[in-house]
Amino acid sequence: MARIALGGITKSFGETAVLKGIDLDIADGEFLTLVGPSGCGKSTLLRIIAGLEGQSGGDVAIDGQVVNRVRPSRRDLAMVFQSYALYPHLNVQENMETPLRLRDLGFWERFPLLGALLPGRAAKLRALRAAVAEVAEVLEIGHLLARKPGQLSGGQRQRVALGRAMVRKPVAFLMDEPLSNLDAALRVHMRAELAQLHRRLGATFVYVTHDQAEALTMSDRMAVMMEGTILQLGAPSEIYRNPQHRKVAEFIGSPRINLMPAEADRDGRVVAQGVPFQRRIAGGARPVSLAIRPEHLTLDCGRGNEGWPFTPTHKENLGADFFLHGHLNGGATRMVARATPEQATGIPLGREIRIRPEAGAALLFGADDCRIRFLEA
Amino acid sequence: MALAEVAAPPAAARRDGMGRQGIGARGIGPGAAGYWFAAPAVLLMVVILILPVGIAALLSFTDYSLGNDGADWVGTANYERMVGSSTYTRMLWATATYVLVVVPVSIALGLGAALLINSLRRFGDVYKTIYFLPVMAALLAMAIVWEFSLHPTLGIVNDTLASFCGTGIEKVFGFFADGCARNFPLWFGDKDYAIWAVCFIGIWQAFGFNMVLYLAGLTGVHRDLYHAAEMDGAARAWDRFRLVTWPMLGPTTVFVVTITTIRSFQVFDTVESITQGGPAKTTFVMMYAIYEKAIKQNLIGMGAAITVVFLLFVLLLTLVQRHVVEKRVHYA
Amino acid sequence: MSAAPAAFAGSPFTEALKHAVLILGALVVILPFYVMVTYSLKSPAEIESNTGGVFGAQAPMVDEYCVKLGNARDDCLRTPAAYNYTEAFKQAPLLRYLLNGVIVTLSIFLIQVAVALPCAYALAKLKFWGREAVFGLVLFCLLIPVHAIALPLYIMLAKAGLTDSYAALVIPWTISVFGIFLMRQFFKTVPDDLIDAARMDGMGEFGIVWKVMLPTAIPALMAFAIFSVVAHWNDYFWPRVVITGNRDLYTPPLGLREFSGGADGSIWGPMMATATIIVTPLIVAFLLAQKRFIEGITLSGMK
Repeated sequence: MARIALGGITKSFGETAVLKGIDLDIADGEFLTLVGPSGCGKSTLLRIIAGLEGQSGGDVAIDGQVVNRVRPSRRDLAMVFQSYALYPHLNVQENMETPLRLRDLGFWERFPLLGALLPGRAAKLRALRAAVAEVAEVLEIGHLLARKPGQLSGGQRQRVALGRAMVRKPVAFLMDEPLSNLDAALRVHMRAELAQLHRRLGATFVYVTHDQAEALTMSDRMAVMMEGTILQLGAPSEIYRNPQHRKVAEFIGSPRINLMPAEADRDGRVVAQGVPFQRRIAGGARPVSLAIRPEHLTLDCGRGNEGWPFTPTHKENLGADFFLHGHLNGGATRMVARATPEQATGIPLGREIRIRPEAGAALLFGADDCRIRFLEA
Repeated sequence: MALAEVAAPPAAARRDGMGRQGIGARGIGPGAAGYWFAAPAVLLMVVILILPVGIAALLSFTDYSLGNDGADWVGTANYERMVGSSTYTRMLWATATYVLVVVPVSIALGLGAALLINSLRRFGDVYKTIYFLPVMAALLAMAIVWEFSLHPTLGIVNDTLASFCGTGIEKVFGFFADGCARNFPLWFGDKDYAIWAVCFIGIWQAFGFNMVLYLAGLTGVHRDLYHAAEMDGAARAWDRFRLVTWPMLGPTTVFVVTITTIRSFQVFDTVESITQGGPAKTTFVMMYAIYEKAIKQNLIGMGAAITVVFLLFVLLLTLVQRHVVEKRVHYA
Repeated sequence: MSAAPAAFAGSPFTEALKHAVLILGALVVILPFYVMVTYSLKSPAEIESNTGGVFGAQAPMVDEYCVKLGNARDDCLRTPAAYNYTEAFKQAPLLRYLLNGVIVTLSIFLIQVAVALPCAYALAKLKFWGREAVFGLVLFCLLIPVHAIALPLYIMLAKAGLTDSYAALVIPWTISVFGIFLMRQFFKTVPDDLIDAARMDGMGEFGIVWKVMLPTAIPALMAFAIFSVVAHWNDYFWPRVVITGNRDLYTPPLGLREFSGGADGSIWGPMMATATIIVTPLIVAFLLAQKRFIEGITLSGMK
C-alpha cells in the first residue's frame, strides 16, 4: 500500500509533447482514475508510473522514494493490461504462478530440468501454489486453473489478469482500461466487482479509462486529463457538479451538458439566448458560455413565457428517463432536456415548448474556458 | 420459361454455380469454368508429381538401366544394399551428419542473429541485408568461391590462419600447433574435415533465411507480453526469452525446422562441384548418390530406391510438423 | 523494437558488444563475396601470391594464350580485370548462358502463373463437384519436392526424347503447387461481390481471372515471382541432370561449373569473373528491392 507522487512529469515523442507537466499525489489506498479522451496521455502516464516508459522530465516517487532509475520489475507494482497479456502457452495456474516464481525462486531453481533437483524447491512451490489458490478463490476462478487463456471468455481472462496482479500483493495496482474489451453488460458488472475488490484489498488503485461513467462510479478521486495536462482533480461528485473547465464539463456526464453562447454586460448581468439570469458575475462586458445539464431543465408545456423556446425533434427513450433532443429559438443551439415518461408522452415533436433552467444550476465559462463563479447575492 | 430465366437475378443463379453449364454466348459459365481452370493444373500435378513417385517406387524393385528394353524384378535387393553395402551406409551416414549438423546450427544462428538484430537501436537493417545475401546467391557459384577460399595453398582462409603462426597461439591450440608445423587442413581434400566443410557452407547459406523467418516471427509477438513479463519480475533477458520469446516463436520454429531439414536433405551443388561425394564417400549425400548412381552410372533401380527412401523421409518430416503444430496451437 | 522496456534498454556497452558480434558474423558472411569480386580483378600472379590489395594492382599482365598464338609478348599485355572479364565471355559462351537463364526463368514463371492463377481462382471462388478433391491433391503434392523426383522425371523425359532441350528445363517446374496454394489464400480474401459485379457486367469467367483477380493479387504475385526467379536462376541440380550433351543449353550455373572442373591457376581469375557475373543480377535486384525480396523468399511461411 503506497503513496505515489508525480512531480512535473513531461514526455515527448520526438517533436510531439504528450505530457506537459503532470503533478499528482495519489494517497495510500485510494482508487484514483485517470480519465480523458483518446490521446490525452493517460496510458502514457500510467506506463511512466510503471516504469515501462521513461519520462522526459520530472520525478516519480513511491512512498517518498524517487524511483526514476528503478526497473519496473523492482518497483513492486502490478499492472493489468487492456489486452490482459496473459501468457498463451501457460494455463491459468501457471500464469498466476509466474510472478511468484520469478520473485521467490532463484535462477537455478527455475532452470528447466536441473531446477527440479535442487532441494527446498518443492517447499517453495507448495507455498506458491497455496498463494495462487487463495487468490483464485477470491476471484472465483478456481475451476479454471487448468485451462489455457485461449479457452476462456473475456470476463474470465480479465479475472485471471487481475489474479496474476494480486498474487504478489504489490503496493499498488495499475490498470490500463481493463474493461474496454468486455461487452456492455459485463462491464457494468465488473465495475461493481472491481470497486468491491478495492475495498477488500485496501490497496492503491490507479485506473485509466476513457469511459467517464466508469470514472464516476468507481473512483475515490478522478483526474480529468486532456492533451497532456490534468484539467481537474477531485471526487466524482465534485467534478460532476463543479467542473472548473468547459472541457471537463463537456466530457463528464452523459448525455453531454448543454452549452450555449451568452453575454455579460458591464454590470455583470448575464443574458443567454434571451433568458436573463438573476445572479451576477464580476468583470466587465464580455461574451461567455453558459452550460446547463439536461436534468436541470424544467419543462413548461403551458403558456408560460419564461425560459427558452424549445422545439423537440427527437425523443430518446431510456426506460426510466426520456431525453428530448431539439433546438432553441428555431436556431442553431441544440439542447437536450430530461423528462419523465409521463411528461414525454404528452409532448409532441415539432411543437414548441418552454424550458427553464433550475435556479442556481447554470455554469458559466469564460472565453478562456475557465469557470466563472457567480457572485453570491 | 425463357422469360423467367432472363428475369431471374443473374447473381443468384450464378451463386450456386449451376447458372450456366458449358460455353455460352458470354464465354464459359461459372459451373464449367471450374473444371476448365483446374484441369491443366490437375493434369500437370498427376503427370509431373504423382506419376513419377509411382514410377520411382516401381523401378526401385528392378535393376533397370536406360537403354535396356526391359528390366528384371529384384524385389528388395536395392533396399537391402542400402543398409548392407558400405557405400550406401556411408551415404546415409553422410546425409544424416549433414542434416543433423546444418539444421540445429543454422537455426540457432538464425535465431541468435534475429534476436540480436531485433534488439539493436540502429543499423539493424544493414546486418539483415548482409546476412540475407547468401540466400540470394547461386549456391554453386558460392560453393566454388568457398572451395577457392579454402584452397590449401591459394585460399585466403589458410593464409589467414598461417599468419597467426609465430604469435604464440600454437601453445594454446593444438590445431595451430599442427597447422603451423606441417600444414593447415586440406579441408575438402581431407576425409576428416570434408563433411564439416560442406556443412559449413550449408550453414553459411541457410542461416540468413532462418534469421529472416525468425525476425518476422518476432514482430508477431505482442509487445504487451514483454511488458507483462517485466511487471511480473522478468528483468533478465534470459527470463524474457524463456517466458515470452521462445514460446511465442513456437510455430515459427516448427516451420523453420521443417523447411531447413527438407532443404538440407536436398544438398547437391556443394557436393557435386567440390568433393564429388568424396573423399572416401564422406560427403556422399543422397541427392548426389542419386545423381552418380542413376544418372552417371545408369543404375536406375538403385537410384529409384534412394529416391523412395528420400521421399519417405520428407513425408515423415512434414507429417510430424503438421502434427506438432496442431498439438501445440495455443490461442493468443 | 527491443524486448526490454524502452526505459531500460541496454547500456552502450552491451550495444557495442552486440555490434561486435554481428560485425564478426558479417565478415564471415561477406567473405566469399569479397573473395569472388576481388579475385575477379586480379592477375594470376596476384592470385597465387594473395597480394594486390582489394582491387588488384592492375599492372599489365601477359596473356599467355595470346603469346601461344604467335603474337609478340608486348602485344599481349592486358589489364587483369579486363582480361578476366573478357575471358569469362570468350572461353565459354557466357552471354548465351545468361540468355538461357533468362529464357528458362521467364518461361517457367509465366507458365506457372498461367497454370496456377485460374486453378487458384477455381479453388477459391467457383463451386464444382470435386473441388475439395482437387484441393486435397494440391495439399498432397506440397509434400513432393520436385528435386526429389528428378530421377523418374529424367527417365520420362529421356523416353520422350526431350532431354537436352528447353522443354526439359522448363516442364517439371510448370506446376507450382505452392503458387496455387498461395494464390488461393489470396483470392479467398477478394469479396464475392466484386466478382458478381463483373459477371453482371457481362464478363466471362476467363476475363474475371485476368482482369479482376490478377490485379488484386499483384503483391502476392510479385513475391511469388521473386521466389520463383531466384530459385530457378540459381538452380544447378535439375539442369545438371537433364542437359547431358548440348552446351548451348547450359544455364548460368552449368556454365560456371564448366570452368571449375580441372581448374589450374591460370583460370581462377576468369572463373571468379564468371561467378561474379552470374551472381550479380540477383544481388543488385535484391539490394534495390529488399523488402519485396525478403517477402518473396519467406512467403512459404504464410502457410
